Amino acid sequence: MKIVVAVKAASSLDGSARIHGDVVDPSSLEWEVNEWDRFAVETALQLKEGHAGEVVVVSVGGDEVEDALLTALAMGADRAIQVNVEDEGHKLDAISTARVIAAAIEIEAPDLVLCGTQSSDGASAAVGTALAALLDMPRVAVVSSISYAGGELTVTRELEGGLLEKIRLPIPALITVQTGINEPRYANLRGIRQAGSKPRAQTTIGELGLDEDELSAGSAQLVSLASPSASAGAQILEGDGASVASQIAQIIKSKMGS
Amino acid sequence: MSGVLVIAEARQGVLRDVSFELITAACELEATGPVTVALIGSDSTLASQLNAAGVREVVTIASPVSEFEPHVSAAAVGALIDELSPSVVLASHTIDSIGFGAAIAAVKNTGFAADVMSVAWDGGLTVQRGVYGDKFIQSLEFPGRATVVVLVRPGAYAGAPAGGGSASIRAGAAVDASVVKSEHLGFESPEAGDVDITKSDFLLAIGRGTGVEDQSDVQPFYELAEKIGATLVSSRPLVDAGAVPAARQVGQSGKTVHPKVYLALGVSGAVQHLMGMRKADTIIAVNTDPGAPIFGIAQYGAHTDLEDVARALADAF
Repeated sequence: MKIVVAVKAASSLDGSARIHGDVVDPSSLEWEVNEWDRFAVETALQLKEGHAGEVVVVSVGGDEVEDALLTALAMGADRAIQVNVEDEGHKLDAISTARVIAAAIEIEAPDLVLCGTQSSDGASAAVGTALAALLDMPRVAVVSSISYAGGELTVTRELEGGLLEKIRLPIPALITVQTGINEPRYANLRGIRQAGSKPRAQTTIGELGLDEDELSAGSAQLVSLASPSASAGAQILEGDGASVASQIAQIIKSKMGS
Repeated sequence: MSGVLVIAEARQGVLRDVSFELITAACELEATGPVTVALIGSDSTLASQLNAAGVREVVTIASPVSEFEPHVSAAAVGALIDELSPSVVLASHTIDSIGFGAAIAAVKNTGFAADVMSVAWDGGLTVQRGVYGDKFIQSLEFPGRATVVVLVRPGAYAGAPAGGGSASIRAGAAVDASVVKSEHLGFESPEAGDVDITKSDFLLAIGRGTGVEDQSDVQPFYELAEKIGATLVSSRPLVDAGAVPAARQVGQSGKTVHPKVYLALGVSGAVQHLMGMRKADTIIAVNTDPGAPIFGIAQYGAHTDLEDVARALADAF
């Protein structure tokens, strides 16, 4: 089974995060493999271990993408496709990202495409679903278990309130993976050593036949980025641990009516 | 291009609350034109409930299958966009609609925004949504887009009262059986567990910020909960890690609770968690990260080291 996993280098904010104009100060961003995507990579590796095949990881972005792909390769993926966004000022939204990934992996003709359900930073939960539509692949989103036999996947979709829905679909298919579906492995030293020598293809949006300027315009236009209004915030209890605990105890006792 | 198309949701024969929340949001966009509500693949007798004040028309779309199927929903919404040319399509940022919303946007090349907290119309659509766990709020516009698909965060709007409107109700074109790509095999209810956290008036919630990694790390918090008379619950990451049983998970994929007091230790307040506990009477949050979104809905907060607080709390009762 040939499995492609779309991996995002997601950013998180350090304590000093500030906004400059309409963007978060890049120096306050820390990059790592999107949490959901680690579960997707692990899902792919387990399916390969059970059914043989190849795991290809793909990512779109700037310099930060390389480390994310190396992490996936170190976990055990076989090869990587890195699509470079050439203009640093270009940020692709979820739909544009899906268009780029679709163009990059169409030629791979995968049996299964796995994506994380959402990213921790942008949190649109949209790339996987859009990608499936662009590749004309059957899809199930927000999956918490997966098994494969005889050309068919049986998956569990995790619904609100913990209700589970069991679904069967044929491959080729695209699945978006929820956290907790497995326990993502950490790369061991051997994996990390091997990662650098695994095949890594590099391409650009232009080389894929797409227009980077047009894609960066995206499906929405950002007009402002702001901090939420502070007025909605909590009343902050001051003091050391003991003092805060005693204030909390007072509040609880009064609210519980005891 | 005018009007708003609302995509209602039902599950196991019952309309979901989000359907009525979307109607409220759609009515706030009435300047763009009439509100149409689509009910896809559900019992068409539910349509009368969707006939809420402000709705012009309810369209029922027959599905070849009995349960939600994302390809059926995508096809039905696509056909309605072709027919009605709405300025805005409103669906919910729910597990079902996440399965088809972005597919429509990609194929139809519409504007798109997901997990949206508010919508407004002033000659054009503006929406607001959170990024980085709501630490920052984006305002988005959609110049040049004839149609925009918007997935609205559950709970962002109050639900419109069911029924009582003057809408016409009609059947739209049924979706063809060839559209179906996946097969529903059945639902499975979550395990009940040893405790019903929805029955407790006082919940002690622990999150990733507690540093808990496995079951043995949780033991002191069970003891603390017992000492102060609370029931222990947690956010999703600790359940994913196997440290806390799923029956104690609060949030979108866990339980929705409304205790008198919700004391959250080391809970950052991911959107999915807040969905499950925002209706608590009093929320108290302890987290060393002053930017944690939980402080946005807590009445009381502290940035103190939570180990110190936890230790002292046991003695304060």
